[in-house]
Amino acid sequence: MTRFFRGWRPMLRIARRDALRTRGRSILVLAMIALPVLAVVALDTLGRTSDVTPREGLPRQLGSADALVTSDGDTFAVDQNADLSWIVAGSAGTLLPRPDAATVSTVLGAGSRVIALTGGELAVRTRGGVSRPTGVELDLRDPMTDGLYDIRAGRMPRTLGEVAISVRFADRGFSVGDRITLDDGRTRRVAGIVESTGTLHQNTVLGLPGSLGVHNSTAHQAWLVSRPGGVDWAAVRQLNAQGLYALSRAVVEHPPPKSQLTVGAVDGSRLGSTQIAILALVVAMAVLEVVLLAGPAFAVGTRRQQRSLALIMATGGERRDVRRAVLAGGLVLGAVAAGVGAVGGVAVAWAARPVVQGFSTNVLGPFELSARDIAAIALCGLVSAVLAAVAPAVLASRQDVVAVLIGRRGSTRTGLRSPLISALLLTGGVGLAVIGARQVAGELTIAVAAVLAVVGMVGLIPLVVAQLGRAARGLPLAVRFAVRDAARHRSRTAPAVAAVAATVAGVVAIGIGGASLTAQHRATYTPRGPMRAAVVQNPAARPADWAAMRAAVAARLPASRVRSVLGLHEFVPVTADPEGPVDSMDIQPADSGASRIAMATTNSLGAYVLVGPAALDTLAVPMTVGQRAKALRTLADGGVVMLLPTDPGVSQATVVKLHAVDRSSDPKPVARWTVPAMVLTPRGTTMPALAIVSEQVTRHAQLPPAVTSLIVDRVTINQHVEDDLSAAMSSVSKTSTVYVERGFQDDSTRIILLLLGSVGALLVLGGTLTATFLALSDARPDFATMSAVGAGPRTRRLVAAAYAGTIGLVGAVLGAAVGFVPGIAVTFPLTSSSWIPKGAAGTDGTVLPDHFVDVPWLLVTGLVLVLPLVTAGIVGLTARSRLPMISRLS
Amino acid sequence: MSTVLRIEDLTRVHGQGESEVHALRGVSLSVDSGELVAVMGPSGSGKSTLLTIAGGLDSPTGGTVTIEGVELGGLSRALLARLRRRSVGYVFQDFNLIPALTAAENVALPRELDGDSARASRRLAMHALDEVGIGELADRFPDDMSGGQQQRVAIARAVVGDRRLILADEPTGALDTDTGEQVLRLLRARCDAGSAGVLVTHEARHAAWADRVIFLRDGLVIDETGPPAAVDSLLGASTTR
Ligand SMILES: Nc1ncnc2c1ncn2[C@@H]1O[C@H](COP(=O)(O)OP(=O)(O)O)[C@@H](O)[C@H]1O
Ligand SMILES: [Mg+2]
Repeated sequence: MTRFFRGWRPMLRIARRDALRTRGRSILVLAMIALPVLAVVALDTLGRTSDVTPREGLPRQLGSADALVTSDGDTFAVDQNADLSWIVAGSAGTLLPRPDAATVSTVLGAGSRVIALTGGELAVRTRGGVSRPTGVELDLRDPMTDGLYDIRAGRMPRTLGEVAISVRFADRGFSVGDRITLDDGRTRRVAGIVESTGTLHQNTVLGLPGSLGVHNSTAHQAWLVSRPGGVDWAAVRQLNAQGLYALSRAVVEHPPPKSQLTVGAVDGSRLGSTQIAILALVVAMAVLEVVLLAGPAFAVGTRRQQRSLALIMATGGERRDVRRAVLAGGLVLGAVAAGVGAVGGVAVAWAARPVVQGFSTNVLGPFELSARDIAAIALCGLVSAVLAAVAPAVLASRQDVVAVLIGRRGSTRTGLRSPLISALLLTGGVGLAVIGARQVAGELTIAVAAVLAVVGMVGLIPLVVAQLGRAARGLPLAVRFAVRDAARHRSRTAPAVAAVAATVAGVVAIGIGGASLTAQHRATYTPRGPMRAAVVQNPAARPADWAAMRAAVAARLPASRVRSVLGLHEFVPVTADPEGPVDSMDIQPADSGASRIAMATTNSLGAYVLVGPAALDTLAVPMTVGQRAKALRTLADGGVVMLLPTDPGVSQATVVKLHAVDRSSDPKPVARWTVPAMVLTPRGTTMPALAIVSEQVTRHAQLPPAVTSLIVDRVTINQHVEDDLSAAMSSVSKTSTVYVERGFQDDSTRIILLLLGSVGALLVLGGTLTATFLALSDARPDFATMSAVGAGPRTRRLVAAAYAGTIGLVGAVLGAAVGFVPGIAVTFPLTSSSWIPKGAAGTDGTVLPDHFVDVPWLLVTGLVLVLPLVTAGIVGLTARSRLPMISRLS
Repeated sequence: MSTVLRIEDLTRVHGQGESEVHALRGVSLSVDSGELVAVMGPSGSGKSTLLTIAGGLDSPTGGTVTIEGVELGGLSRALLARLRRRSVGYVFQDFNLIPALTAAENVALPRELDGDSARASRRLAMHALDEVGIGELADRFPDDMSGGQQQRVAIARAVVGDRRLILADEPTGALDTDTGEQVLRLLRARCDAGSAGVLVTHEARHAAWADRVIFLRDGLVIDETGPPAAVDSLLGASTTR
């Protein structure tokens, strides 16, 4: 062991001195390794900080209480785990009385204290209309509530006439001392402005129990409890037996053993093998990328050291010693970079907390470092540095000592190792991608395939570069020089080209996958209403409400056209009791009992079955004049217009009337008859409704049509108008919703592609620029010679540009070629949708393909052609034009 | 016979203040076409400095350099570069071939840089390589050639395109005796064909190939001989110092 260290000690000393002597190159390597370490450490720390564990979350949920007991209105026994991340609503057993505070007190026994926490929707009149904050009734004077809210101004309410409001609600123009007017017309004085310690930007009004009147059907009932000795797991189970859930401090801090949990409640948040595999792939690719980016700097450093390394050999050193000398360089720089990156990452995370908080309404947890994670990340950095030094070390140990010592510059040629293994890896990767493309969930297989293919490609790059060098004859001087020089110094060029190629391969593969998925979403998008129109729905509205809502729209948007959509509610109550028996209607093609066409249907206009010819115009179904005339005729004849993804070629439909004892029971057919029918095939894969039926059909079924939605159009409805309309509708009826059909909205893909493009471009630039500038500094003697034979000042710039262009283009083209394989392959498992009926038309009216392939050409050409050429141009323009003087060299 | 290179009262100071070195302190020299002049002197006497200034690679502190009637002092960097492509050829002790280019491409380099087509410059390069006797090595890379072969390539590069002035700074320094002789024979032949040559050497044997020998010491010409007969005595004087 000591002998082992003795062999390394002088090498480490040499490496340390050398790193200090060649500062520029050392800083380059440091940056290449420290920056990724820094980024990952910062992300990890921020992730852990913003993630609130159940234990960290206790104060913001419980305040100073021992437990929070919640009722979801269940009237059967329920089941839960310790931190409430798994709950099962009750559905069987004995029917329980609705639990109340007394139920809780009884379970917890003597000495316990229970205070109610009731939440529900409020309607408050503001200058801009009616605002709908959450009303919370809670006695905030009770010490159990300490820690739930921070007071920002004023104080907590003390009387029934006082409220506290959240910061967001206060932003609507309320301050302490103001009065707010509730729905019931009574006013309350704002005593304080508060912010929840758990969630920011909530729209909340707080008051003492009974002060707000939130006890309506939407109310949410809970109790904060304290109990001597805390609420243990046994007590939680007793509460469960009463239909209550409990989040208990004692239980979260000391979770019950798994044996006491229901099977399903056992925490399954451990990483699965798939996730571990993905993590391993990501880490492997990241390390590979860093190795490739830092590799050229080590290759150049080693060659600069060549003479001293040869001298080590000449003075009796072994190959092993030379290898160690180079590896020691990686060790020294890697250790420093890992340290700098880790410390920097923590610092960046600390500084970035306010920024992260700005993106999230969830209050961040305490600043949290994971020594284990940071050590692992730093180790990856160190390993990358040592790996980056491996190839140069091996090459250096194989060099021809004599050739180096007599000063022949040609001794850097690297032997071309048999490309067999690399070629096998590449073909294996391609083959595996093909296999993955045929699997149902082949994404992971394809990811593995991609890594294999990229590693294989990386191994083949020295060969490609060498071949290019041979093919360079006939190229313009600057390019020829750059290509040949790149080929001569493969140990420097190949990793840089490989870094560019690996990056581009990854970006192209992910880009194709993402763009294809978006293409599928776009093609199968189903509009929920006419384009640019607003659809107002209200499942609980009575006929009078609809009239009031129409009037409100007309008042707000006088220029608009408002149409009522007539339809059948999904369940039509038979009696006055809404919980009682219900009737419904189904419509099927009368095709001699063949199975129904697989299809997805929504009630985008508030009903599955629409009634009357007017519905033809309110549905966003494109049709020809002929189809329209035929549809009108069919409806006039007492028939139905079915909406199906493909036309089965039927002219009759079966109308089925169904009856069920209540909404949750199985409906049974009670009547069935045949009517004339025609079929419309809407675009997209989800049908906006089941059918349009004539009034005769509803009369025959004795199901009364009703207004199910309003369609507002002929005015421009931007976000502002939409909000306005929403507020107006809410002030008429709380349960109304407004949706504006704006077509397929695709923001996330664009952002993802942009992000991918930027990260890719950054890495491509990094690889290209390092290799170029290392090459330029290596080529100083050649530039001096060129100068001596009369090269003009432009020559250096041309060569610099040619270098950058060569490395960028070769890497990008190879990478794109390799990236296309997994990219295209992954579109099969990603977008082949067996659920789409064969022959269905997409949003643009054409028949949907089996699977979608969309190559983001802008990204690909940008990365493969534009970026290298622009980089070359910029390098050419910014490179020093002055050639070194021959007399200064020796 | 016309004067190709004329140097008048050339001075060159390297560095400033404390570290100031007077490499040349008023050197005058002229070389006619067809003439080969040897420059001798101890190490550090300013020989290389003289040559780099004569070739327009470095600029003098004082004095003038005129090549084929053109004074270098007033030329821009671009024009100086053009001068090196068209009129002046350089031969260095350590060859200074570009390893990424083949022999022919190295020789063709000045012509290509001057804007000749690849084909035309290669034709000239092949001609020059034939002239120095290694036409068959045209497509080899420098690393695959011996020192003598490399220096021949360097000479070919220095003469390609009919350049009238050849400046050789210890061209035989890295070569064995026989190969060195051959290289000098090539230079001599080139001058006999009409070029002007300046040869820096510190071997009297090599100076014997020259028409005239100039002795430099501490940046001054200490002697100028006609035929190189008195070389040995002078050299002896300077080395026993
Ligand atoms: N770039 C330079 N900077 C400073 N001093 C220099 C430089 N080049 C040469 N010298 C000095 O000028 C003197 C002449 O050098 P040089 O012309 O190379 O002599 P020689 O070729 O005869 O050996 C020497 O003292 C040398 O140290
Ligand atoms: Mg010299």
